[in-house]
Amino acid sequence: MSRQPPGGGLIAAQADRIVGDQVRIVVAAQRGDREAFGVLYARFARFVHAILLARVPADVAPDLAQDVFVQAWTMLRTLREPAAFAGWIAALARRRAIDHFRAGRHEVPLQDTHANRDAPDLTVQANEAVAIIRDLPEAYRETLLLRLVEGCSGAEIAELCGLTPDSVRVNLHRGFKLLRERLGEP
Amino acid sequence: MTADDDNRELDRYLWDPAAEPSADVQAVERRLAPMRFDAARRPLILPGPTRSWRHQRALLALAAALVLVASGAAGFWSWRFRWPAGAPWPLTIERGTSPTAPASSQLRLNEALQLDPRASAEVAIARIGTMHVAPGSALTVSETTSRRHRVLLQRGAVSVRVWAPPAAFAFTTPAGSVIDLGCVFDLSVDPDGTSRLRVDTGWVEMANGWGESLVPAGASSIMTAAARPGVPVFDDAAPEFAAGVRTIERDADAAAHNGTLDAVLRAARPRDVLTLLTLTAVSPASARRPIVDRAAELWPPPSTVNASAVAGGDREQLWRWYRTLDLPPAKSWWLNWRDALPRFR
Repeated sequence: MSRQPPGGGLIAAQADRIVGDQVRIVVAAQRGDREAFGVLYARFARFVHAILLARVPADVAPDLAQDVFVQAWTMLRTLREPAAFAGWIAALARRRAIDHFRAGRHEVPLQDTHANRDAPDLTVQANEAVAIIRDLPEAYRETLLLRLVEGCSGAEIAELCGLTPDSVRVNLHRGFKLLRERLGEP
Repeated sequence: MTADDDNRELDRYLWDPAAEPSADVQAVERRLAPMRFDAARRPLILPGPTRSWRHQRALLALAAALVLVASGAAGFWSWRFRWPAGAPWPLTIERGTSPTAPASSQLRLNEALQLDPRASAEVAIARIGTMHVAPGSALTVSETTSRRHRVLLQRGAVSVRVWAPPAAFAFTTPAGSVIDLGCVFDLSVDPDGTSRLRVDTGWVEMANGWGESLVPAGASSIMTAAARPGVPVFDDAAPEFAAGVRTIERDADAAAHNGTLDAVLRAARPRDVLTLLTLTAVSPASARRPIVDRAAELWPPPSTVNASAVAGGDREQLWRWYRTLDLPPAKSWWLNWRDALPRFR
């Protein structure tokens, strides 16, 4: 049985265009085009942030996400397959999280632009929710953070994480069910 | 709406944020909203332009090659100068036209090598050079260590090629010492004990109880036990100049009276100022003035040197003038690096 939805050929062609477009942007950035790298930052910053949020305290994740992109800029020429940019930068982000703990850096940034100062209790609640997600099985963490924090669609998550759409659907469903239970919501 | 409908709605919204919202999911989204990363509010500041990867790789390769060459050179340097104290030197006897094959052997410390009139020898001076010993020569290695190698040359002739720091290698002859300063030279000892030196590259010092003489590349000198070593004379100097200089060295006053000094000064070229200045240093006061005047014509002294003071015996001013001559520094032995290469005869 074909799993391809009606009009799947058009979708596949569009996907090819998107991938081709992304490859061109990565290649341009590899040649030193800062504007092209800015496009990559805009596209992948939430992805990198979600990966970090699944591993490090929420208050340091934004700074580390930027660190990852600075590192990516200096190392981009070592990326041999431009189409593999997502997996490559995800690996950089995971390694950066490990380095953060190895270096024993647990200080709080002087200025936390991420916090909501008008409603500090909201930030506390958000931190609690992230902490609960971090305690979920590993397979659900990044998927849920990408969907619930960064607002990515299931299709985007599948593409970014290199998972099948079905796996993402399952992770979202089961992960959210677990999360809701642990948050104490009906 | 049934529970199944609720679940389907929830799953649809979980998959697609543009779908009909699920109240449960939205509640969690609202709770997590403060955590969302906003790239627009956090502009990325990139470091300055970096060199291209190819450029970096080329630089890395160059650095690696330099390290390799430097470590290889350091290893070669260390190996070349390291020598076990008293170890024998490799020796090959060449029997001239004799049908017998050259015999390979060793030249041991304090063991005399005496060649008959038909035999010559090729001797490795530890690892710092080589020495070709002419037929009929007699010599003995009197000292060999990593820092000092000394050979007693009783008679005969040798052609030496050494690349080592000054005074690492030297001969003792009946007339005095012949000290290598890093170079290629020929040395012979006559039956009467006179040493004759000719330098091809670098510098050689001759020294005995009377004094010393520095001989540069392209020049020759002689040394007897009865007098200070001869001044250097370039091999391309006029014959009357070369012969006259030796006469002046023996008796400057007589040479001044019999016209030899005038002949020498007439035959001198700018290149021969080395000889004239060295001659000034060893001549009596009566002979110095005309030599200094001629030297000043051929190679004017620097403004800080007064020729009259030099003629009056001022050694310090003499050497200041000497150092302006177009000669390589005596201690820059490493500049003659070609002398480290194998010799092709």
